[in-house]
Amino acid sequence: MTLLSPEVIAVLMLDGILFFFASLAFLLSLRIVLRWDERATTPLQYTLQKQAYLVATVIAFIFYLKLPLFLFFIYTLDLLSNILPGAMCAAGVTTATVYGMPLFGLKIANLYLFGLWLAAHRIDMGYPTMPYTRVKFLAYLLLFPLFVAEEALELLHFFGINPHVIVSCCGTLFSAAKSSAVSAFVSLPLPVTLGSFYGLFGLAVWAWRKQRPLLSALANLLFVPVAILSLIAFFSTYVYEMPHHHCPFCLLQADYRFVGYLMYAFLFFGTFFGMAVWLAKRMGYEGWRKWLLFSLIGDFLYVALVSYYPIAFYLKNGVWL
Amino acid sequence: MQKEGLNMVEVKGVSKVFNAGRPNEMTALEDVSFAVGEGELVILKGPSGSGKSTLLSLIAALQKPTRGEVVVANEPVSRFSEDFAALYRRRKIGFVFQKFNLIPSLSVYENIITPLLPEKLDEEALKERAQRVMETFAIAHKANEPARNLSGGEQQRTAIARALVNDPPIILADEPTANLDADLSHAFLSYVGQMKEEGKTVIIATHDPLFFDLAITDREIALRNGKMEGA
Amino acid sequence: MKNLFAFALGSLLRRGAKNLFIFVIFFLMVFVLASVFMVTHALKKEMFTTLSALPQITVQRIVAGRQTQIGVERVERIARILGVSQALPRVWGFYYFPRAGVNYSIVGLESFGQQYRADLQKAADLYVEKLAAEDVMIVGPGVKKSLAEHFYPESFLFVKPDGSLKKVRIAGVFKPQTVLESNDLILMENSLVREIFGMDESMATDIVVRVPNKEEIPTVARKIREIYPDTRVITREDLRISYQNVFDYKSGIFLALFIVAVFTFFIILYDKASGLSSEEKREIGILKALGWKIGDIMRVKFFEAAVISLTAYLLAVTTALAYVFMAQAPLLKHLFTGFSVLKPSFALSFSVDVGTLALIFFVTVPVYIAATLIPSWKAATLDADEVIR
Ligand SMILES: Nc1ncnc2c1ncn2[C@@H]1O[C@H](COP(=O)(O)OP(=O)(O)O)[C@@H](O)[C@H]1O
Ligand SMILES: [Mg+2]
Repeated sequence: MTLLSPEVIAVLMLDGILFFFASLAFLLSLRIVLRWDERATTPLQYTLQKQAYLVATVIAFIFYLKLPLFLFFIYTLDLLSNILPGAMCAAGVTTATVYGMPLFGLKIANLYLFGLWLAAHRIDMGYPTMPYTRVKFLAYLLLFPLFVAEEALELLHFFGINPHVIVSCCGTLFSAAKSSAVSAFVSLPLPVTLGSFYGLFGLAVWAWRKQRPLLSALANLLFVPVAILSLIAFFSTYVYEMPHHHCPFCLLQADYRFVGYLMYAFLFFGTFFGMAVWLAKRMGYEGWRKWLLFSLIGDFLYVALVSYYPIAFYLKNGVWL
Repeated sequence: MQKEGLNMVEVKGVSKVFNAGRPNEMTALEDVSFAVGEGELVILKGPSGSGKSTLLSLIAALQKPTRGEVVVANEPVSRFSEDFAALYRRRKIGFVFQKFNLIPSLSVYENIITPLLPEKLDEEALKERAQRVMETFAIAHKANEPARNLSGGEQQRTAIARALVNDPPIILADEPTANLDADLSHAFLSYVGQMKEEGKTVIIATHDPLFFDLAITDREIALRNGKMEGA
Repeated sequence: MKNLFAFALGSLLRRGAKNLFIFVIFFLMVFVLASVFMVTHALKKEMFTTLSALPQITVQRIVAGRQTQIGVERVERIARILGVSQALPRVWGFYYFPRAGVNYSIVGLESFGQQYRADLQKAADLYVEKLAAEDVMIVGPGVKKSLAEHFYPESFLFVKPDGSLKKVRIAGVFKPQTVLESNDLILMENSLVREIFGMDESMATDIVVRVPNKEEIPTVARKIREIYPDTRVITREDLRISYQNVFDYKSGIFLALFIVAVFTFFIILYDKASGLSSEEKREIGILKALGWKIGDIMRVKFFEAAVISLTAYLLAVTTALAYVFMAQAPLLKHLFTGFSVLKPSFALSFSVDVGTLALIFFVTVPVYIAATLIPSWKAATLDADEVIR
């Protein structure tokens, strides 16, 4: 093993703990799904009810640990970029193995999914008989393989990094010259990129005006990738004030006053509630209108923050990059 | 002597079997049915082991019946999830336990406010509510005394104050005078009268003859071996 | 929420003895970990500062697997390689002073010539006249001190390879850019260094090469290897990565051991937290009978765990800061530097970053909370009906 850095060890250890808990929750969920009987007064049912609390607590623990751990993970990649020749930030380290990119995507997806699960759980707890119990635990059974896949990719990634192979830095990774999906988006004409970005935001606003949860969920679901890609393609260059520096990671560094953390926090907050509101409405949760508003606020703050950079740049210099 | 008006507590064909299917199977209650109207005082009597405590705990949704149903204010509380059962106890039930069950290391005030802590109340509201019941039951002067230093009578008054602090419509008391001398038992009786006057529904499980054939009692239910006598 | 938090605090205090025990052990573990990481972090930073002053490429001659002197005529040829802006011979070495039991690094300067390092250039400019005119040296503060301690306040007698003595006067004290490296440093004129080490005029210790375009460094290094197959060509980047690896490796091994210790502790803790006293069980039963939800009780348990672990963490980190940077990490520092007595002492300069604190946090606090998760669930789901009997 070539990368025995303390940070990697810490991440792997926490992965181990999370895996233990997630598996425990999986086994208990399996039993709940198979044996749950709302009307029964048997000791088994009673035990299952108690175990349902354990599962929910464990999932909450996983989610609330995964949130900051995600940031620590990026930080770790940033550190590793110091020992990988060629890498300047986490982007280079991510592409050091073929698993890096899928790992990242899965990590983000899992954050949303665990969060949505918790939201559904909260709503369900609001009913006297917890009518969604079986569905909820069934959903977790489906979520678990994704979690395992994430952990597996993470192991493959960390153990697969070869510190002697030169990797690319973000400058070349996200440049228009490269032939990857990301680069394809970067090289899209600007009106298309920005049109879809602001268009989807407009759709989300409209969904709020018309109080339409499904529309909000769809708009926000699409908004996540479009926001990230347009950040890479357009907005990030204005944060760096360099026309060819396209990178979603350098934003997180001290040089740019850690503004990336704020951006991603807004984006997550807004899109998460934007999707959760559909679930809330479907489950008959009365507070869904509030969630729709949360989503609007989060989305708006994100859009305002990223738009600030090009506008400020233009006002200051009188030209676009 | 069923009163007119809303049924506060309905016990419908309730049975409770412990350790079902095992050698130590024990039927604590068998097909018990009755209803208690709002504002009524019901005495639940019977010898030790007849199922009184079990019945109270079913009404309080601390346990679930094996068969049958408990309905309180038209809600099927015996089918509630644990969380809803807890919420129901917090909002609707004041419980006076047999051994008072105060937390010995907490002060009188802290004991009294424990039922309110999970609610979103500020310090002021907590103090105000506690003060009210502490004055009613003449225990305010001991507010900061740890419960372990209290005399029997003070413990009793603290326990009653705690049961009433969330202003519940239903009071359940399990052998409230079992550990008290005659004077204190009489004092308790007068508190019961006070509660009834306030319109509370009161159910007292006891085998203390002091409670038998009282004028203020609306109804007496006698249990023997888990069955209602004369049913 | 606020009320439950206050209740949790009260409950911690009410069971003071048990919680104090946990607190102290947890505190000690975090303290050890934090101290080790702070020392390594400070050393690492020191190393990298030193490193950034190193030449981009160093060329050494290797004979029979050992480094030996290199001919100065090679400088010319290397300087002609495309992309190289400058190549300079260096004359330097270690001088062992038996009475003090220390090694000094003697580095030669070409007076009136160009230096490969900005700080050396400054020193050379400052003392150029003196260095050229007479046999003098400029020393680091550590050297000045140890020489004075052995009664050489103004000059020193070097023993040459043939056994004869060479008297050199101290002309000044070198203002160090970084303490770790320059503390034991002695600067002299190149010819004087050669005389003390008995080196030939045509020889140097190694050759340093400057390459303005970073991207060309690997190519230049390869070319030098091709022209002079008997050389070892070291780039700064190689050094940086290998230093980083050594540090990571050391602290990685340490962390792995530490995690084993943490888990042992948490198994003990798990055991302690699971075994509730009958008094605690009764208390939980009462709370549930009074209308607390399972979630309320778990929240209180979580608050208790969070308060213990966070306060222990904060206290341990502050104590470690004081221990490492104010007290200069007695015992621990030498364990990690490995210099111990052979080099004059140096100071750990204050350096902490959010990342290190986050690392320490992640391997302790969440693990602690994880260990209390199942016990508090067990406690919160105890049957409440027992208290009514
Ligand atoms: N959790 C339990 N497990 C087994 N048996 C129980 C349990 N709780 C009560 N019982 C039994 O049920 C019967 C009724 O008990 P209880 O309701 O406490 O009677 P009472 O309060 O009238 O004295 C007793 O025989 C008692 O032993
Ligand atoms: Mg009893």
